[in-house]
Amino acid sequence: MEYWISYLDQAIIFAIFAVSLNVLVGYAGIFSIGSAAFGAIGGYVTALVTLNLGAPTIVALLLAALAGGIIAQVLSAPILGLSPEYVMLMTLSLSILLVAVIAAVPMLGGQQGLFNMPLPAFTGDKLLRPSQFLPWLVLFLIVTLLLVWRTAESPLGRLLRAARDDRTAVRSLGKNPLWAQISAFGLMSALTGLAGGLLVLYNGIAAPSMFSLNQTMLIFAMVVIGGIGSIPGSLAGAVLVVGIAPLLETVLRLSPEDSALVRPIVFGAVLILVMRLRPAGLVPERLRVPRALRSRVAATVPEISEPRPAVVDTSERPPVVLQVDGISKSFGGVQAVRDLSLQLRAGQITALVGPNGAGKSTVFNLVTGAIQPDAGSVVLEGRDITGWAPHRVARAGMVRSFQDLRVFAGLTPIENVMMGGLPHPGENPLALYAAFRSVHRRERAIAQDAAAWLDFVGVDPMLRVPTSSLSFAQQKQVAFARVLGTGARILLLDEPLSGIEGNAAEDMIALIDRMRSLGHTICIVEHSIQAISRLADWAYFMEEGTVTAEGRVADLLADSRLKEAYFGIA
Amino acid sequence: MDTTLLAQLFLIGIVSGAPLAVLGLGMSLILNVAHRFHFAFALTITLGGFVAAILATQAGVPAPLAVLIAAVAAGLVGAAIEMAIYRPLERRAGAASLLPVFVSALGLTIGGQSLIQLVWARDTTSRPFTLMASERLPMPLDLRLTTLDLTTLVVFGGIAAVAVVILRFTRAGQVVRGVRGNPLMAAVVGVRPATVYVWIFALASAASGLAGAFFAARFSATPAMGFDPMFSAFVVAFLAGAAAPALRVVLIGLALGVVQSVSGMWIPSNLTNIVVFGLLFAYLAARGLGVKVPRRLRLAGKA
Repeated sequence: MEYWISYLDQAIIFAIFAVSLNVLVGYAGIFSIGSAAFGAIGGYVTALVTLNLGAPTIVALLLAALAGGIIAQVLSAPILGLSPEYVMLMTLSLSILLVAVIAAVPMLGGQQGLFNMPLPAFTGDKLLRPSQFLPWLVLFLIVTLLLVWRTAESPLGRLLRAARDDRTAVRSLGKNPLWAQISAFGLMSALTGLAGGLLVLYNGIAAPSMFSLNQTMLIFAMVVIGGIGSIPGSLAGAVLVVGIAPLLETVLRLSPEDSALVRPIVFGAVLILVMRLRPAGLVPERLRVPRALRSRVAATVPEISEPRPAVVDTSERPPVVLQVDGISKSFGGVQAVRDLSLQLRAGQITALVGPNGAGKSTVFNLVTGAIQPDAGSVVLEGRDITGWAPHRVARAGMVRSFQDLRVFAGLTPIENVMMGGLPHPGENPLALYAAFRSVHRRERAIAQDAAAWLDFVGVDPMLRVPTSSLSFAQQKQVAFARVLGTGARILLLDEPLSGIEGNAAEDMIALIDRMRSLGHTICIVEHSIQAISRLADWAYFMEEGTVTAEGRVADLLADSRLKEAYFGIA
Repeated sequence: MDTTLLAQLFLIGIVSGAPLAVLGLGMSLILNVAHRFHFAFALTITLGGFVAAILATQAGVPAPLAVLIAAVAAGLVGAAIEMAIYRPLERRAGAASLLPVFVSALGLTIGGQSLIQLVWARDTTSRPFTLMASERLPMPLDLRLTTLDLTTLVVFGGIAAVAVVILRFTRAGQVVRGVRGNPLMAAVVGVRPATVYVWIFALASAASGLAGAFFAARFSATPAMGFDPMFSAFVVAFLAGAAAPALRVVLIGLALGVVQSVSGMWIPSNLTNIVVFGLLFAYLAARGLGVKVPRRLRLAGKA
């Protein structure tokens, strides 16, 4: 029996490694292959403080977690600035470097490692047999799962998954995911350090071979086989990967040496097959609809308040809410935008029209902070927002949509729209663990708002599918609901009709009209003259990076020079 | 400073840098033309080492022929990996194929390395391979250079030179550059990018098998022998940059060999390998922190 329990113990320790890694890879999109490095940090800290300071077991483990977390926080600055392939390489090189240095330092026991550690004890009784370790390991696993669950299946987890899918889109909605990513990296690395400490205590030795590249690969295999983005999957992956050794030894009667060689062959084959046949793993990532909506959607989805009448008489000249003065931007030798000025007036739809390459989308990028102007100013409702980061601009009340939509592909439609809700205490790592009730209340309110906006644009809020699986027109509707969900007063819509036609295009025109009726100030970049004629109160005509004419659409279209510039015909 | 020692270390660095230059060039093409995060490069290096060692020591095949067969075997395996594993993943996942390709490469490396150990190194940690009698050649300043060193230099220097000429001056090189720049446009003018990828994998893997055989001749073949050269190849490819001309990649490979070797003046010789990882780590950390990197050292892709 102790034989099987010993493997169960190991599966539990590796499950802690695996779920922590899965939050990084599957939720935060941080492709870290540094599990062994943070495990080694925790393991050696545990061994050192136990051997040299005689620290109690629990203190040693807490220090192990602390060390892993702190070092991860230090490393998070460069790691989070890199694209995935570089994160893989950097964390991999960290693992190899660390183990090589450990093996070369006599104080850390060199290749032999540190041993002769006192037996671990939590309540006075020393732990010697696997069955004595088991209840404590289960306890650590439960604590780990609670922390991981609270982090991953929360507004913070949703923010991480959204940033995994599209960091730019997250920032455009007024949220900066950096702090969430740093926190997740720190917390998960702390848990990895804890797992490293447990591994060392369990084996009674801290040796470089315990944290080798092979170990990293095995942990990665657990995550991939179980299912990326699935916490239950990681538990299953750990049990499978660890459990295959006793199975090979007892069922196939392989010697432990042969079993150690056959296991990686089996894992290797399984990894390739999983990627080929079932890339989502054994337990695919869950698709989420907020619990608050599930049972009583009909009763709780509120109606969007009555539309206000559209501003039809443009001679009223409502107040200016966005003033752009003399902005310019060049890329290398190309002047994309040149001394451009325009105004958006409250409650009106203003169109930016002009031939391809005139710089219309660049203007959106400049006023929303996605790129910085070389000159000029952007004033939003009296505040100079020139040079502000995109999330600050969004928080100030101006949000954009994208021509290529940039929906969060792996999130459900309702989750996409909930990402627009501002602000959410559950996205703050400290509030998430301290203010359960307010997080819950806010989550419910945002879920109901999001459902209402999805209803408004004509998408079922209860759809439990990845948004990427919807039709292009539906994805556009979700993207619009997401923009509306931010509560921003000024909406910049980049080619809302591109890629759709017929009834879908008619529905979109009607939707934009309804958005104006809600009181939003809208600026639209669009090639469809028919749509602009029907929607726009005012239009700016752009050529070669600057505004060459402005006025009512009908007046602009009557100008033969502009017509020729736009359509190529007089 | 001992100038003789420095000269000796420099010479050793050039000798060890020559295979790294060729491996780096192969990895650069795989990364920047085929866009595969080919972690399984380690496997074809190891395979080359073991095939040469086993053929020479157990089947009595003449050592030079064993080396050639090893290169061909590694080339075939590399091409098969691209066709049977990576290409289907890319077809399904498209731009999101980075992780599936990496995980599959990881699986290949884990499984392949253990399979090699199970079949060829079950009872021993290494397989010796004698390519030639390693005799010392007369050199000025009493520098040490063996026949194996000179052969390594000639073989890999020759391969690097031929590769640079082909990539720079021939139609084949033009095709590779075209596919690297824009595979869709290349396809429009009649080039088949998928075929180019297979050839790149075949030739780069053959070169890796050859390098593996030479590493085995120098240190003997071990199941884990492919990792350090594979990482070195990554470092060379990344430091050279995405659109680097072949000559630059080769020179960076040689420089890496020299840096590794000369670092032996200050750190223990068994730790010089980690210089590669240290360089890689420092470089990536600087990139991640947004430290300005000279244009000629910029990496592929976005960071």
